[in-house]
Amino acid sequence: MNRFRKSIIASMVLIWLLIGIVFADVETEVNNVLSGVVAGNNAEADKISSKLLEMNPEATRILCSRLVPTGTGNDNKERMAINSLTLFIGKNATEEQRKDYANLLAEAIFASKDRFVTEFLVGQLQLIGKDESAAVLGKLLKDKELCDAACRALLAIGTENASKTLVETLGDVDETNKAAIIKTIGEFKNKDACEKLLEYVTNPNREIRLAALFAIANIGDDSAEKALKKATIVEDPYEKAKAYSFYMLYAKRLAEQGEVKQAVKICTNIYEKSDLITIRCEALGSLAAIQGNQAQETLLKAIESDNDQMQEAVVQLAKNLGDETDTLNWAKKLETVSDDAKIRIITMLAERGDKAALGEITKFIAPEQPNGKVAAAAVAAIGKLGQTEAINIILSGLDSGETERVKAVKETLNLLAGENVNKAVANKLTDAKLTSESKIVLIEFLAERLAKEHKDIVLAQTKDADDNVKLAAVKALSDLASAGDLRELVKLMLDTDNTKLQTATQKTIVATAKRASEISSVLEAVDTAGDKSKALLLDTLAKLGGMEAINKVLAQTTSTVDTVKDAALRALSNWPDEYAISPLLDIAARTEDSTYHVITLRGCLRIISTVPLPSEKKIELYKKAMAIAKRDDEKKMIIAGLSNIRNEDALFMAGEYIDNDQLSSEAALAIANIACPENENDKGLQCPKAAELLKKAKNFITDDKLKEKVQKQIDSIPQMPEGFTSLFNGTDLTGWKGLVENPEKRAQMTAEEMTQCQKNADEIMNQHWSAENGMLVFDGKGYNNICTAKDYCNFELQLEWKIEKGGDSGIYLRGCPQVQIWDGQTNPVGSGGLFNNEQNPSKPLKVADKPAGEWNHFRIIMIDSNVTVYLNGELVVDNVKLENYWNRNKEMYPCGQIELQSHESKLCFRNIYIKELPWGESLFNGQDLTGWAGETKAYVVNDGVLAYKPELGGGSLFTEKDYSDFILHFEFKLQPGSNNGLAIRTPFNAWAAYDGMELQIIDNTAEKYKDLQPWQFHGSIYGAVPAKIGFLKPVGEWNFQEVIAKGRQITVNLNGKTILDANLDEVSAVATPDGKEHPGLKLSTGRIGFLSHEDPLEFRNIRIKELK
Amino acid sequence: MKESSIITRRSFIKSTFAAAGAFTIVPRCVLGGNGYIAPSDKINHAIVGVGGMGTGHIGYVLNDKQSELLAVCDVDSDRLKAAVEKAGGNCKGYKDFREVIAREDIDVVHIPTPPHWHGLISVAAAEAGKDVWCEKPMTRTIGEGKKVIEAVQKNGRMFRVNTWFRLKDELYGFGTPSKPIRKLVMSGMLGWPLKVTINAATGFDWKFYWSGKTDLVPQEIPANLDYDFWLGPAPYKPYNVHRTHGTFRGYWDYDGGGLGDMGQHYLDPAQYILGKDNESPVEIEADTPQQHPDAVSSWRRIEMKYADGCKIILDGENKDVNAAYIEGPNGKLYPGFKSDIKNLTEKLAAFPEPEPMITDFMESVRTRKKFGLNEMNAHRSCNLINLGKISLQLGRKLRFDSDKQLFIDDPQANKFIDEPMRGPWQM
Repeated sequence: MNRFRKSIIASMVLIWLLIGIVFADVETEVNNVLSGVVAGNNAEADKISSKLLEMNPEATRILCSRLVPTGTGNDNKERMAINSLTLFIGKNATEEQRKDYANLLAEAIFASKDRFVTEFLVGQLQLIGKDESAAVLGKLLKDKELCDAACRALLAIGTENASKTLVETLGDVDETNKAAIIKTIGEFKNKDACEKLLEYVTNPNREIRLAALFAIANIGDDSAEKALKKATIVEDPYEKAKAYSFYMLYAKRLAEQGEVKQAVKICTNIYEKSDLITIRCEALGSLAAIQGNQAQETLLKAIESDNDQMQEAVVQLAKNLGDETDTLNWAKKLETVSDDAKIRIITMLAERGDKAALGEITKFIAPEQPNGKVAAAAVAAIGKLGQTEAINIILSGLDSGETERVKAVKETLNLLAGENVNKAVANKLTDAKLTSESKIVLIEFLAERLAKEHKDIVLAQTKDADDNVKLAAVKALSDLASAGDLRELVKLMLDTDNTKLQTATQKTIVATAKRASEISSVLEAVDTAGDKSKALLLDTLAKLGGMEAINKVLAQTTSTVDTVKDAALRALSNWPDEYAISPLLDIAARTEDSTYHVITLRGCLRIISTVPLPSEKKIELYKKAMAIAKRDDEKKMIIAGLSNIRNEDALFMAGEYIDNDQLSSEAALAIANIACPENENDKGLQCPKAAELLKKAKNFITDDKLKEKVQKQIDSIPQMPEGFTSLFNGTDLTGWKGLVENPEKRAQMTAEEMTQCQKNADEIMNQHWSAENGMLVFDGKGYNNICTAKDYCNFELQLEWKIEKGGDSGIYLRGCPQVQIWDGQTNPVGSGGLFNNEQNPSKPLKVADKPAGEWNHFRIIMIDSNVTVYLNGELVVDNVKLENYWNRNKEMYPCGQIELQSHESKLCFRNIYIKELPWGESLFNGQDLTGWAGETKAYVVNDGVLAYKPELGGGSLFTEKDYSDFILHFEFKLQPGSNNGLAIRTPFNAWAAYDGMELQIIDNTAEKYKDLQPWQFHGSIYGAVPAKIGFLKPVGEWNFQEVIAKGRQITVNLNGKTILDANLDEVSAVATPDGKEHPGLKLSTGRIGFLSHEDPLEFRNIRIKELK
Repeated sequence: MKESSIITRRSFIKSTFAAAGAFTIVPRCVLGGNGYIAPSDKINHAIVGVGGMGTGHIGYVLNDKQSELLAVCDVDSDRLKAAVEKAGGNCKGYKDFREVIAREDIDVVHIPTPPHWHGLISVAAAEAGKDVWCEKPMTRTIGEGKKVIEAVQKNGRMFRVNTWFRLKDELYGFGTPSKPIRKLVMSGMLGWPLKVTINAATGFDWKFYWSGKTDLVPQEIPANLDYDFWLGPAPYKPYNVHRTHGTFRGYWDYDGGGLGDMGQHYLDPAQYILGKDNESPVEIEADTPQQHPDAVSSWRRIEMKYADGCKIILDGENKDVNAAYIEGPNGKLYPGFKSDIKNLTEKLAAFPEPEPMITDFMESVRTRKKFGLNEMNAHRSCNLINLGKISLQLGRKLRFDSDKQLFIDDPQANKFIDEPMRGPWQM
């Protein structure tokens, strides 16, 4: 946010406070209570409510009177206050206060003229009303539109009166509301209503019919049964399902009233007679709900159904019914039912959780049980019921070796806890009769539980006759074995012919040796092993890595046995860590065997690319490798390796090969890989060298997608756009200055004040702003804008900016705030808007911000007073006038400095480029004196510069045209002691100083002018109005001057500083300081001219904009 | 007892399609009277509500080779038309869900409607013998949830809510599935009671763009929308497009903002992990700006406490930046299964696994075994949302009886448990 906004908020708060003191009537008090926008938290809401409650009845009346139909005004505060009050009273108030409040709401309901305002109030009564509100709601029932809301509120009130009102009104309400009323009456369970409701059960309107059926069912009066039963005979399946549900609801109500017998009869009847399985299930469910445990008998019978849906419904219902006797009944039932039903009952008994069932269920695990699925269900059930204590029974499921049981045991074991389980499992594993499948289940279980205490038993399984068991044991040992087992494992690995087993054993050896940091068993084995075994051991060492192991392997590289030597070299080239790099480079350099050269160099390159080494070390190694590499394919590998190092050194090294015919495509790929971004969050390399190499690389890349990526990266590397100049050199703050006050205040300052203030401001700038890594960085402390040293008029500015979360900044144009920068997250309106505009748009057209922490790009075009802003390529401000913030009555300054606003958060800017755009019309074409008249021979045109050469003559140069109101820009360069003048509003060839107007152009620092009168200083209206001095650039440098002649106001800005601002009407033509007459001051139009004296000087960039 | 076949359409389809020879997979019950679906049969689906979420459900069905989409239903004729086109095949479009439910050949009814319809259609579908695949949040009120349970169980139906983070996938932003966290909790290594924090730091950022607008200017109801039907059981309020498609979550009448949208995704796994599938918190307190009676807005924090002291913290403003996902007196667990307990994975190996659950709803439909996230536990996790919503709306600390599922000493709060429905609608 802008700091200026804060003071506005502060003053608003003050105004509110003042209002509170001045007025004291209730309405104002209500306003005061509501003034805090919306309660920020529960305590505040309670506070507001309790205050409003104190002010009742007026408070509620006022609030209710302010409710408006939705969309016609803002009554949010009132709605929230009423709702809050309703909730507060519901919990905290006395009964009397509640009743008063309910009556106030009723009053408001009567007064309300809008349906939805009324509904809102009825909704409040729904939350707070009791019997007293029944009457008002009863009246609403007759209103076609409000009936429904009233029904709901009456139901919430729930009193006898509420019920009575509904019944009484039923006959009077609109047809469209009948169903709602009937339904609500049903909810009240008012038996008196039943007779009336029965009239509606055959109503042609389905809604009414169903509502009536519901109502009579819910009321549960005996008179309803016939109708309910009859209603089930209907075609439409939806209605049929509903009708049955109501019929059973009726049964439930009967049961609640003590008529259990009749209720049971109804449900049993439906259960037995219905041809719809869903209805029958529902009937069973109802029976269970009504009869409780007594439904067991029916359920036990129902399970005999061959319908799975029915079976499932039965067991779901039986699950929670009854006691141990029922458990046993169900367990006994197992013997007589189908296998499907058996599974369901067993599963149900498990969920039932009654251990009494254990005995019966256990029977089904026995090997004699033919159905594996039943046995599996039994295993799972025993696990659930018996837990750890039943471990041996569960394990007995393995005895038959039947697959379903084994699977079930495996799953059940997973759910059991405790060391006893591990122990039992390990023990079971010693059972020689087990099938391999069972053994594997147990072995895997021990491995999963990391049961190291039983690893010997697992180790013993490596001697099993079945290779699959061996394999499972070896795999399990990879988690369980310790250093002491390595010798045996090595032996196992060397002895077996089964490659799968051998590989697994090697893996286990490696895992164990690594875990135990112990490789001596492997090392020792190398010494004693035969040649064939040696190769396997060397390969194992290659998987272990480390210093100790490599020495062993290195020793074997000089073996006289070719197979051993070969194995050693291969082991080395497969080495997992950096220890092998040097030896491999060595061997690759020395060996005369081309195969060895290839495998060692390749191995070496693989290691370099995969092990974690500092990038500079890797590049150094690649350089060494490059020196050894003989063939192009090797060199290509090295370049490919480089491509994974994403820094400039790697880029440079890869760049060395881009011009090598054989390697250029590999180098191009590497360059692309190094310099292009890896992911969305990556920018890739952004240095100029990257752009240069990518351009070259592009020529060698054939893949279109990659080509596109490379081009994208080239494009993303910021290059100064054509015709722009850089405002920031990336290394220091040259071209920038600190901020002194604002343009209006600066205009008031003298040169001395200005110099002093500028010095201080620059010091502050240097404390807080710095150049870091090519960025212009603000340290986040304070409010210290940085400003361009130069002023700009019309321009296109491009820059990138980055802020932190919650950050805030802006770009001041011509010294005026601002093109807004802030965190789009916290300020959803987004950045880029002309924040301080009051009359003209201040918000951006769209949100184009990137999240805080990412770079954003601005393109800001300012022509005259109008600003166009593109944020990240999106147009966010479209030619909008930037208002003069510092003086709202004044036009935007024609020129001024560009400032980067700082606002107590860390900021980064970079790639700040500007292109000045033409301003106004040119008075001087830079080639000749077209458009000029008068004494032209002393004015010489050369390369865009208009030079006055006194040696060629004298006289004044005038425009051919007259100008009255205008802004004139020009630059001039003085020589020591130069004296000239700018004529404005001067008749052709008249004496400008008196018959026109002359603005002095003079080196008033020259010794010979030390006695100059103030009205003769540079910029003065000669003889009439003195200008401020001290703002000329040193002699020999170009000065920029702006002259604004608008009506009677003449303003001169020199190098961004107003040195003259005079109203000609206030300058008495008679009493001018020089005591002379200046009739020319009264002129409103005339020529513009340069007046010669005897001193040379130069002009350029003379441009004008006429003000009309 | 001999069961007679319920389904007349089965034989109809059998003869029709057998003649056409188009179908190699025989519709299920043709094979016999045995009420449920053999593995080789197709499961027939209907989708009620084909807006944003519904379109996703069309995908679920179309992508399952063993399923067929026979009906889509919407009260917006444009959406319905688009859905029928997308579904293709034999799919028919309906406006009234009751006609869909009345079709005997439908096995599973999907309910990706706005939440104010979830309970009502679930009950109707269950009573009609359909299995139900309901969108989250399960029901708009606690009372509706209780009725869904009753209807589903009484009718022996299968029910799932469409969130899946307790199942096998990665737990939202946490980085691992829920199951190992449940295992850790069961192991007791973290101690007791536990605190779960749901915020951005733990992988769950609350979304607050589902905020309602106030002072909506009434608009003309578009010709393609039956607004009255869309509202159904919800109070009638003047139409404004913002109340409906895509933005309805911002209004209490239909949902509960970001809490309604993401609540069950975030909270259901937390409930599972804490082992609270059969209970609800006993204390609920929200820290919130006062909520508008119609439009949902953002909130800062909701704390829920179970009877045993376990807590779930909904940290809406992401204040607890260093919070563990789950924290007990003896240890903490952070996203990615990072913990202050050393060698956690190794230590955990000694403990049993949580019970397996069915993670494919079609498996439940075929085998009639309860789905992992069913009417029971989903109702409890939806309670977390509804309790949160009520605490936001009421702006006061609430005490809740977990068994009776009623508020204690607060009759007004209890009015939010069962809210009367509009017009003829009732469950």
